[in-house]
Amino acid sequence: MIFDGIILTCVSNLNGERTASSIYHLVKGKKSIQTIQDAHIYQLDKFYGIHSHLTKERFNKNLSALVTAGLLKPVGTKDGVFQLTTHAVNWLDNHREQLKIDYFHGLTYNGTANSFFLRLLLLIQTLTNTKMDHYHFIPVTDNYHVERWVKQVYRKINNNQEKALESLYIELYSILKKLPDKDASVFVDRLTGYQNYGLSTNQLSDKYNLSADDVHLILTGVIHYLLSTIQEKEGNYPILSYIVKDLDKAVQITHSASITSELLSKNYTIEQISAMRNLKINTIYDHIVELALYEANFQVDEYISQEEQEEVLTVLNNVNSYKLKDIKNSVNTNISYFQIRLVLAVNKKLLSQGD
Amino acid sequence: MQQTIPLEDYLQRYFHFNSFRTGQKEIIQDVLEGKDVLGILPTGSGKSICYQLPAIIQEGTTIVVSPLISLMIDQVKELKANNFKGVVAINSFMNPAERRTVYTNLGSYQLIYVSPELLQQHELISHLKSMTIKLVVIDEAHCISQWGHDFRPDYLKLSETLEVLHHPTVMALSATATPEVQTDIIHSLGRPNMHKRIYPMDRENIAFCMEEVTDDVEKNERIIQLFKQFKIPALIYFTSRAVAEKTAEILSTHLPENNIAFYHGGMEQLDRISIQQQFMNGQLDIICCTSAFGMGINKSNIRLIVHYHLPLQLESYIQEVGRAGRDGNSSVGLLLFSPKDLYIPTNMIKNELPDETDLRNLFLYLKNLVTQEKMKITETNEQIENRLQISEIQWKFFRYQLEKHGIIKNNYIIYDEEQWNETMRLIQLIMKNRFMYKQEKLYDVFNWIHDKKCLRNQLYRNFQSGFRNATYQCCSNCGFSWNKWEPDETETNSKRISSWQANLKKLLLIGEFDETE
Ligand SMILES: Nc1ncnc2c1ncn2[C@@H]1O[C@H](COP(=O)(O)OP(=O)(O)OP(=O)(O)O)[C@@H](O)[C@H]1O
Ligand SMILES: [Mg+2]
Ligand SMILES: [Zn+2]
Repeated sequence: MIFDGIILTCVSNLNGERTASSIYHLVKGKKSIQTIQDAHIYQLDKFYGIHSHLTKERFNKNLSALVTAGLLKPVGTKDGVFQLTTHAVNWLDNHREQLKIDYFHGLTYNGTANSFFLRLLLLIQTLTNTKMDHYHFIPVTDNYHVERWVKQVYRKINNNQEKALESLYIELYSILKKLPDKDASVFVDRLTGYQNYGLSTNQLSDKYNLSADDVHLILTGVIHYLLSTIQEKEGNYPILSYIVKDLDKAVQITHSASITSELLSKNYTIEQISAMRNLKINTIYDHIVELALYEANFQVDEYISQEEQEEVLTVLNNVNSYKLKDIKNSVNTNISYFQIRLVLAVNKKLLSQGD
Repeated sequence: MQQTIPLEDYLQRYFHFNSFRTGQKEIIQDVLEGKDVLGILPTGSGKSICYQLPAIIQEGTTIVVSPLISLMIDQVKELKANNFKGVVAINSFMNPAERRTVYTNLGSYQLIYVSPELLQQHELISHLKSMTIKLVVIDEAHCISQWGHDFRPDYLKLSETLEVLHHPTVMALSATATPEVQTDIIHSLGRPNMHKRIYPMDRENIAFCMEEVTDDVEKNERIIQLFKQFKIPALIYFTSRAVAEKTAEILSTHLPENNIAFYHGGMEQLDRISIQQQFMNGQLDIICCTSAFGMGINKSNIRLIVHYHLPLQLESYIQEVGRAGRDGNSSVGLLLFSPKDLYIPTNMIKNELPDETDLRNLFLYLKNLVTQEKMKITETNEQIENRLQISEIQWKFFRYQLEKHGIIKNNYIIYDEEQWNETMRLIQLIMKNRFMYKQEKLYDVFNWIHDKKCLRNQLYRNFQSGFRNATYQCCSNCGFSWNKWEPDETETNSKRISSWQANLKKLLLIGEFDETE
């Protein structure tokens, strides 16, 4: 139901201007400017990347179920574009409370939420087991970075498990108690301790009578809620804020783009890289746009002159559209799609840093 | 080489066992002397130690080629939990950053687990090439044989890999290899002088039961009835993920005293680990699973293995039933089948392999590229699978054949009309043979389930001559009786539902829960 609510909210905000697959990309957290721009423009940034386990197949199933249930209807002849029915508007109104929409801060936390949670999981497992003098437990995650982090923290805590666990209890308790019991329960049941492994997605969905999608969303939502509460008053949550402290806030770029970045820094041209890596030129362009979006010191001037950048920005304001085609039609024909995308990406980055 | 410290001391020091089990010492001595060895030992007999011990005490690195991710991860975790740190499993679940970190530190590991597919990767190989690889182990070695389990062409490239790695000592291990498969393993590894250490692989403490029912509804009833009678850790094997899920749900509603879950290859990593560990830990009693939960799973007190669907080969059955009774105590393998079931496996083996149309499409596609003078294959594997509408395994099979027959070399197409026609005919023949072979394997299963003679005798007769008598009851044809079965039962965990506040307290060992042991 939460998932339905999110889809409906997205459809409502998108105003018939985007297809349903843009919703899929949004909640899945696709790293493309189009998706991130959409998130900003349509005020859906809170949902960005909140459901990374979603598959296209399941998404489509959900979508058609909403159509069958009379909550969504296609917009005219546009393929894949939907709008809410009156029934849906009422439905959203009636369920506002249960939809947990306020938990989510996708764009802010989607890069850190998972690492935070894995650290928390493994830390609890380690502290409780070692407190009971049990050193041969099988860790819940084998993520190398998480393991290394926990080892390091464990050394610091050095036989003071009792105190650390107590603080963890106090901090977690004081945040979770602000949530409805059911959400707190789902979260607590997912945790692993001494001789007690946490429940799987499916077990949670059975126990709480939730769809698998909703289990994921509640867990993600509670994690985002924890993160934002911690961030607000770090002093109140010493242990929890210690867990988040050094987590890289930046969204990670894809592996393939990072290879391109490395080659660029060695002064290979785009054409050379494309040949070396046996990838299409357009793919390399995509990588560079990705770098423009996420790298703090990206040098856009290397790809498009200052004057041309300004031209694109002026047009952007005049035509008041983020559609590449509209912009392309109104700028000097020398300016390529790739260059326009770069300008948009760099400015998007600035925009989102503002808030 | 001088062996001053007795091997038993190492066994005691690193694994805390007093003595070797049958075959272990012989196999370990072989590799320490630099001899290649093929070891056939029953399921649960302790094959892992045969390479873990040499890996610890020898200089240089040991590579273990293993077919299943779950199996690798499990063994690595267990070793780490036992304070052996120089071990890593390289698998496709690792993200690129993790993998890079591991690759740059590769030299610091004594024991590296890897899938055959990843072992073909250039990046990994180039790292391994510069290291001293002392021993390469092929666990579950029946997978190498082209007559083995799944068709995975990368297994057939192992002999080339051995050359690249400067001819390390080789150990191949399996619990299910017929003499025919044994020969094939030795042959594909290109090590004709491999020392054979073959031990009887029958399991004396497992009884075999065959029960015919009319349909799935009756299967469910039968299973529910059994678990009402016995409270025991058990696995139920399915060939379909969906049926495994559905049955887990049905059983859960009818068996409130039992904790039941499903496990299959389509689940996300965190969930897989939690289900597997809950089961190992006794939080779960019954798992409805596919073959993804199987090979190598090492829980000592599984008492019952039910087969809800027919296995495709007796080898798979021996593997899967081999999860039972690893502590040596009385256990049962129960195979349930209905007349309708006989059609499912035939369809499954048909779909595993590409068919003639796929083959024709493949050559049309290649010919097309040639006409356009695009001699380099630029599409990714995924794109090609999509284009030809074939599965990953099917494309791998084709690709392997094309490379083997020189039609593709380093991603370039080499065109010679006559040779192409010849090759196409050859591939077609291979496909046909392969299908017939699988069908024969399936007939072995059909024959076995309908056999009136001792099931133990009939199950093992293709693998070895003779077998040991059953320690407990033998089989349903020798007069098995459920009422006379007295397995060690487990206690009922109370499924008391408490508040999240209480649970959190208990989890974090706060206050009154402090004294839990
Ligand atoms: N010498 C020994 N003494 C006592 N226990 C042993 C000995 N060697 C191995 N074991 C134990 O036997 C169990 C099974 O071992 P292992 O998983 O290696 O079996 P396996 O032969 O690989 O089985 P499978 O064919 O199912 O993979 C393990 O728990 C292991 O610790
Ligand atoms: Mg094994
Ligand atoms: Zn018998």
